[in-house]
Amino acid sequence: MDVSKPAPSLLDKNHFALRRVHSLLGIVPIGLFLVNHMLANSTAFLGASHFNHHIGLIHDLPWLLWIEVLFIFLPLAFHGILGVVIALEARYNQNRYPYMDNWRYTLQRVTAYITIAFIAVHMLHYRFAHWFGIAANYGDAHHAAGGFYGFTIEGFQSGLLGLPTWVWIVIYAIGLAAAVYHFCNGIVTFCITWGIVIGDESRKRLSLAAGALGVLMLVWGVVSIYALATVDPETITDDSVETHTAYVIEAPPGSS
Amino acid sequence: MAKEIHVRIKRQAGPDAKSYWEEFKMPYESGHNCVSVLMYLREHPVNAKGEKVEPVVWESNCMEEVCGACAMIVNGTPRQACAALIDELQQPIVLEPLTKFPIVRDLQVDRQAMFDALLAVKAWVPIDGTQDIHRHAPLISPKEQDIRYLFSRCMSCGCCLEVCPQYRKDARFIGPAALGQVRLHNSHPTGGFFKEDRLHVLMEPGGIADCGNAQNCVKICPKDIPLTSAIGELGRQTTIQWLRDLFVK
Amino acid sequence: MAKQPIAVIGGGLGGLWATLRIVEDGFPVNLFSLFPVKRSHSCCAQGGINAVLDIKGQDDSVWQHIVDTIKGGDYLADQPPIKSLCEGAPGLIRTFDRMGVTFSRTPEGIMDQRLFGGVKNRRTCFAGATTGQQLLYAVDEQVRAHEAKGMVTKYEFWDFLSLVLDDEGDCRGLTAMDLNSMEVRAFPAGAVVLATGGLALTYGRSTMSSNSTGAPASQVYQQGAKFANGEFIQFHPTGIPGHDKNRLMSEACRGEGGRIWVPKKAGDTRDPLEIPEKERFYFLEEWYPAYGNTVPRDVASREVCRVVRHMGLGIGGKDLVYLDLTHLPRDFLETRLGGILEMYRTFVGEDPCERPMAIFPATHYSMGGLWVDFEKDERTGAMASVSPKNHATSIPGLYACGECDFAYHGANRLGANSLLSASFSGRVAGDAAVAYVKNFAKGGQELSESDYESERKRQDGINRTIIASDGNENTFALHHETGDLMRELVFVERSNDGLDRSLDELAKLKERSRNISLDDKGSWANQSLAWARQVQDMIVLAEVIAKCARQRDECRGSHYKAEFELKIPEGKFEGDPEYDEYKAQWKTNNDKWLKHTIVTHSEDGPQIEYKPVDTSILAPEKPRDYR
Repeated sequence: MDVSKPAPSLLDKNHFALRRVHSLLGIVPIGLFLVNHMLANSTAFLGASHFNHHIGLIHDLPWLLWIEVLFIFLPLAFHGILGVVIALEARYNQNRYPYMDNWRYTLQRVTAYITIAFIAVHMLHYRFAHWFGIAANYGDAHHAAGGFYGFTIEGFQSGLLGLPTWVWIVIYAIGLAAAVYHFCNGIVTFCITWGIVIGDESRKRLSLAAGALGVLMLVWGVVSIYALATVDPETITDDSVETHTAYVIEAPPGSS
Repeated sequence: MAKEIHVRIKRQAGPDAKSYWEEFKMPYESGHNCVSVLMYLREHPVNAKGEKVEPVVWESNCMEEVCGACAMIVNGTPRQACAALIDELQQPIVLEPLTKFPIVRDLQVDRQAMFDALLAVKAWVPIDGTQDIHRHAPLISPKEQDIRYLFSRCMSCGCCLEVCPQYRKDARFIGPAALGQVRLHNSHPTGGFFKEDRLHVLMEPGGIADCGNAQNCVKICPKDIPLTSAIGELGRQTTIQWLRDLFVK
Repeated sequence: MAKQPIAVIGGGLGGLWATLRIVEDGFPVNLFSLFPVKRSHSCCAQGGINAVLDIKGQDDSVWQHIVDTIKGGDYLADQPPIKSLCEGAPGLIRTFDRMGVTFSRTPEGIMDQRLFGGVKNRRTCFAGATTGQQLLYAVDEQVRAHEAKGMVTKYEFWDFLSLVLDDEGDCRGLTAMDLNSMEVRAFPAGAVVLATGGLALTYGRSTMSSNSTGAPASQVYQQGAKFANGEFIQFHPTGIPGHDKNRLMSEACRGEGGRIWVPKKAGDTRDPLEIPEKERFYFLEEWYPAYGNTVPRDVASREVCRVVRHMGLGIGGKDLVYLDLTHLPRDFLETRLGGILEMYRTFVGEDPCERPMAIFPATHYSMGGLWVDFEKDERTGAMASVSPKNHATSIPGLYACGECDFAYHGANRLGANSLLSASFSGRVAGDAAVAYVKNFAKGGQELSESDYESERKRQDGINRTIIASDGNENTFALHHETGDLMRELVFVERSNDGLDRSLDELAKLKERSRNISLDDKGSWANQSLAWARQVQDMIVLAEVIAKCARQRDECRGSHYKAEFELKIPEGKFEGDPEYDEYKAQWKTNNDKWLKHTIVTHSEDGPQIEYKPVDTSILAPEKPRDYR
């Protein structure tokens, strides 16, 4: 605010735009991606064949790497890095002023850190584990026994890093809860920031709706995790893998 | 009922001095508030150990909760000391200076930043001089005026800044009080002539984008000013201004 | 050559209006205040501000406003300035409106007006329940706009100490003290406008803010400025006594049916709710069957004092009586008095719907103040719109406006006229100061460095003396004592014996105020030092008030001495011989006493003379008669 300051830096010059972009990215595409990701994962309920089919659809998208980089990795990196910068500005005081909204403020930042850590674990776990030779290459997942389904449940159940399944469940449950909270509370702060809701009443209504969404997503996600983590790999039939390939109409040559 | 009034005061001789706690006891009388206690103590500046000490320094003026001078932290809550009745407080009563402003001495802090913020956001209605132009302000509906009145009672006491987790003395965030004043002046028919200027200030570093939506301001405000609504409205106004800047200019 | 700044002391409505006018004329302003100007006492005024807009179909007229103001002040104010005040009010209000004041609106979006204190027409503009605060903030914002342009330099947390006078006695600047670093500095100024507000802290606890000491007015009085009508202090009948201040309980409580009573038995210590009806003394209802509890302010104040001080019936032997609303339904009270009751709950912690309130008259407003001149426009009979004579004190180059001057309100002030006079006089004084600087031969020239330095050194020396003083008096306790004395002897009802006694006591207090020992001898934010100086100045003012009161042997407005009361013969009206005799007595009394008390400072105490009042607009032909 000091007018006597020298010419502002590029970051300062675009301060407002950066913050608004940060706020937007949290919803689109990151939030949407989260919903989509959980949606896809939840097909695990329907059995290996559905799961493999849906994941396969995504997996077989053309220019997948570009899509991932442009619409997931970069937005996530931007949101995460600027988010940490923003979170570092906070001087938490929820112990002194224990209002619910103040707790939400603090939790929004705490869950941000947790989510970042979880995403790192999650990525290492399924995306880059082969770098360390502890799991198969994600790119070849559909060749794994049981296809994507088999690959996914193996991540939970193979005692990776010497961790038993229940630990992985807990890690994923915490990560999921953090991400869901951050997203749903983020919907509220997004709406305030952009001026979509203004008054106390509308903010309360929105908070309730976002809370309901959060509970739904959490339950939904936990059940998915539990399903994936506890299914017996032996029950997966080759059938399910077949089912997947059968649905791939325009599969590139050699993909099966 | 207590026979005496027991007060613990966080003291500091000057901006760079070390702070320390000092306790005081005085005879109980009904009807005291925190300022009248401090008044008694400056007349009888003896601490609980019986040592004569320098009278406690603090700021107060109207004693009716309209001037904003005597804001301090009373038993952990920032509020106007004149309206903090001893009979309604748990003893020992703990008085601390606001922490988000530089300490002048004892309970007195320097809130100049609040007035600088009002200057930065042009918190005034532009008029062509104070001479009578034989015209009133343009019409304002009673409903809108009632809302404006809520904001125009802001007495720059600083409680909202004290509880704001985004506001601190060495950071840039302008704080909720000034945002409320932007809301107020943007909504005036002629005050709105500066709307774009004000919004551009709020779009700089330290402006509205630095609000973290903790919403503590609205809960602590001794005047119940709907600060978060102001922030929501300014969110919308800056969104529109941003899009205008991007696509209309 | 850069224009020499004009100094404005005080940042309430008067000071800020003066500042605006001066900078609009192109002169920079150095604005001094004890605290950020936004916190000034003007913010405490609740009721409203009078201006004839005549929007309620009541044929209200500026003339009626003039008459109400003159009569309200019992004719003891020069009438040309009153004419200007009332004529200027609508324009002033329009300007406030343009500044964005949140005046309450009618359904069609224009400013609303309401009825206020003893006036028949709806003439009072208001902004919620904090009109003074709203007006103050509007001018504060306008001043900030000029501050942004570099035209106003604020010296907040600075205490005015003295004027710098040249050999001819003209004001050429001032000295002030930084209340943090305690540094004393001299500031050259083309002219100085004093807008330092009321002096009610000379009464210890009052309805005023804790910085309304009157010390700057006292200081310039001691440097030669004349003081006028000091004896006229308005007391509000229903104050809520507190340890820190006396808060106002609105007149509306009596209006809506509140009953004032005391226990019949002196020293009754029972809870008020346990005192049966027949053991309560509803003295106003008994003594004034026609009006009951709604007798005018001054009568209510006097009778409360009578029942407490003469009959010894104050609650628990203290200066307190009950103002009782508990017989009225809660719903009714909440709708009619909501905000007021809330204030009581906040500051007293009791519910006035459940328990009677304890009240006592409180010092509220000083009609008297620094004597200021005006230039009469013979053509209009009003004050000339711009003249260096307007609001000029007796020290050339020193102007005074707001409550610290004596103009407009005579012997008593009309409700909702104080915000008006503060703003209007600030505007006039600002214009006058500019006119003075433009026309003054010495204009723009500073005195030599050494002239400022010598005054600075003198003031610094006073500080050193006070800090070094090793007496046995506590400056805060002295103020306490002064206040107790004033509230006992120079209060609502006065007697010459009591006033003589008060003068003796004040002389002793004055002596003692030089024999103090500060508990804080430091040089950083030493509030005790600033206070010690202010207490010395307050005692000087207290002496002026007591002396003025002692000399005026009559009853007029707020000044009441029982032995000189002229009573309207009961049941007699114009044409009755008794009434005519009363009227003749009243006129004779006016011949003797319808004069300003003018006080000049001397080493032997206040020197008093009398000066005729300009009654060229409405001659005092008829006594006030509210029957």
